[in-house]
Amino acid sequence: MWLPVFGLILGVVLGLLTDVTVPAEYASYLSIAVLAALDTLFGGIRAHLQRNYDEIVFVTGFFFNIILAASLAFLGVHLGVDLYLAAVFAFGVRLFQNIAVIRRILLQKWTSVKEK
Amino acid sequence: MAKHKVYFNFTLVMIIIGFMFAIQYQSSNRAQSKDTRTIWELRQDLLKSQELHQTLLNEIEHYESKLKQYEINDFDSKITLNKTNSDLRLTAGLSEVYGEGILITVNPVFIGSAELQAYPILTADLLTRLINQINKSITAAISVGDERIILTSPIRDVNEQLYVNHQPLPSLPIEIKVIGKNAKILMNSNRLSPIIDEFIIENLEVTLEYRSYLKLPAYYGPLFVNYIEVVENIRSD
Repeated sequence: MWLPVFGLILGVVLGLLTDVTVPAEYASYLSIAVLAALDTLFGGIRAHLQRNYDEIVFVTGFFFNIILAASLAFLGVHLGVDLYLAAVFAFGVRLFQNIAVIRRILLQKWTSVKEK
Repeated sequence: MAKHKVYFNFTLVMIIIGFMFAIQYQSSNRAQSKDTRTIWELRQDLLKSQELHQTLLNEIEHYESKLKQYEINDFDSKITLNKTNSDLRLTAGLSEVYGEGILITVNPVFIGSAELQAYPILTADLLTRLINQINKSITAAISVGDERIILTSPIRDVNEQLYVNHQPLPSLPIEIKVIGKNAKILMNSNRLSPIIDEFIIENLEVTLEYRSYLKLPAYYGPLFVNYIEVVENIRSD
């Protein structure tokens, strides 16, 4: 369990150390990509808890969602329509749904352990 | 084994997410400091930087030549040291100064009115502001009455009497002598007009006269350098 958390910290440290920045115009793409990545992550955690986890689905979903979200934002900028809102809405809703399912499963596990 | 693989995948994904977070954070922090100067302001800033550059180059040249002089034999270096010493004393105001300059005379003005008018007095505040305005316009040696003004000269009002360098000034009229390379600028332009107006409000008349020869006394008072520190990175604003 601690390994993914350690991975997060490692990623943050690496990012801060490398001093890489994205130009201001593309910052919105990056933020939507982060949202897509978070959605995929929580989807993966939910699948793992429900024993539905498929490695290939998870990994491809991760990169596909990021590319899709960034593409939608890019398209929206050039069409003059805020298409990134669609991605924000969709990923946001899925994120909350996944978190809710995860919470329910964890609570069930905890109560069953407590009963034993 | 499968569980380890799952955790490994999650860890990789978390690393990528953490990396993206960090980049996003750095980008948003950088984006806040925007340069919104207009082209005119940029030109002015460039000009100031160039002037500073030139000043620094001149200073470097001056000190390098001094250094060369020190590196010659002992006798010459003594002469150079003495010269440096006298130059520094001159800059600090510790020696007399002669040259062309401006004589500023502050006279009382009496309005013919029915009410009795108090004798106009020159306050420390007014004198300080006049001296500051002169220093803002040109590099000059200034004396007020018989007192030389140096960087640490105290100008105070004590019991309604003006004290400069801990010495009381005589009552009006007071002569302020200014010797500087571009002292004539004070007369020709309107640099001192605002402060002269404030003098008039206090019933004081300020007259400026160009003199081809003025003598400023040296500063003989105590020097307090305990709290003086060297200022780095001076910008001539």
